[in-house]
Amino acid sequence: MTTTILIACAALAVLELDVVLIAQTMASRPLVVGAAFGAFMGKPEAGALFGVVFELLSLGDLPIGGNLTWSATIAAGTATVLAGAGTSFAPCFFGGIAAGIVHSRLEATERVHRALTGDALAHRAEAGGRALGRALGASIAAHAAMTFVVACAIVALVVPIDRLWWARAPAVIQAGSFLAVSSAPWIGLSGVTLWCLRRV
Amino acid sequence: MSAPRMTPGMKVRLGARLLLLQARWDPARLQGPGFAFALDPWLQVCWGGDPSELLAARRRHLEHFNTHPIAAWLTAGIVCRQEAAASSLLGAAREAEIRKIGPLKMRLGAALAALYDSFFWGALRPASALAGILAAQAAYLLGSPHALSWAVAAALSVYNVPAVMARIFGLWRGWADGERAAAELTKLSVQTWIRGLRWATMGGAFVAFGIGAWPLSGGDRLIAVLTFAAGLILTRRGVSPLAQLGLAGVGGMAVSAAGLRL
Repeated sequence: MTTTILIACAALAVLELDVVLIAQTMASRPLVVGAAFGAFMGKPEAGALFGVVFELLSLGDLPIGGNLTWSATIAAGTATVLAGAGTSFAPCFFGGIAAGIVHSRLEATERVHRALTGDALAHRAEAGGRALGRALGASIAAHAAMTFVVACAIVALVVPIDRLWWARAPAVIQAGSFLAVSSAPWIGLSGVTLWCLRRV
Repeated sequence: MSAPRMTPGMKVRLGARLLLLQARWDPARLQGPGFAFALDPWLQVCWGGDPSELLAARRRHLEHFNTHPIAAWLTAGIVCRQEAAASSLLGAAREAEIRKIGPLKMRLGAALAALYDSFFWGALRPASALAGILAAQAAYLLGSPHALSWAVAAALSVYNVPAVMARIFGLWRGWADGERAAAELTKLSVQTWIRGLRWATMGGAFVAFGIGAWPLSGGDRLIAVLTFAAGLILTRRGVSPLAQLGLAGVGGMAVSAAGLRL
């Protein structure tokens, strides 16, 4: 199972590049990621559900002007990998959201670092050669590595929490988690409805 | 001196490099490094015979630049045409033509971003997501064993068919017609398309809600209706979906603490 999880996290790191860095074909949409990773991890229903829910919850976040709130792609992928590892539904869901938020915070830091080194790169790139291509490649590799580490770290954190604590968690916390998870599709749909209504 | 002509191979190379437009996106130069990387082979064709001009051309494209990733293809076509035109001139005429390139690129980038953001991000993206969800629901209701495949195919094709066409035609028309290609976009009824897609998305959201909530048992259906209604109110008041999830969690804990069952 560990190898399967590592392969899934690596595949998520590659697919996530489509969100901003490469092509933007929407192959990285939560809906697609949930379906693909659900099939890979042997949990197609869980993957579909996470994909649909995170897709709906994130549709109002437009990727304009470097907007970074949370990564629904990472959320859907990580939640589905957790489900494949046998984690209970609510910890998968909240683990996914945590991964999405952490990923966005780190991506913001990554962008600031790129800005700080932008002038030096421009100076090297003016002279020609492969400086610019190498810089783009390094940026892609660093981002994919960051995604891989975030997904693996959240899985490594949530799986033991689920196994050691979740079943014995107070009923109040379980009830709150249950309502939040079961409300998520309807909250997402209401958000999409109002978002469109305001703009037609 | 005649202007260099762009071969189909060069267009493919430019297009492949434009896929990496945001590979080094940063808050200062935005898409500048990616755009410069995409244009570099063409700049070498135009200015390869004059190292100082090639250096200057690279420098002007490494600067701050931003637009929608799909609009970048049209912008690139137009800019390549301008670079070729400038390289075919000499002396003051060349200098005057070069001076136009930077402002033209920035103007096009901003104007096209507004249009493309509204259409691709603000209308087609949510419409394609709802198309995927509705396709999955329909396939599931019809008993198809491949409901997820239908969802993925619907979502990807609704978005990517127009997106890929806009990229290819953008680059092709930008190179062939220059600024006129951008001006001709205003003749398209894009705002009508955007409104139509948003109405369709909104209708699709209601249908998806109906299909999703109808099979639930009485209590769960009531929770779905109440959450949907509360979501409309809270979203209108600016509460983010993640914050709404938190509120639902707190509500569930309060209900449980009061001794009620969900």
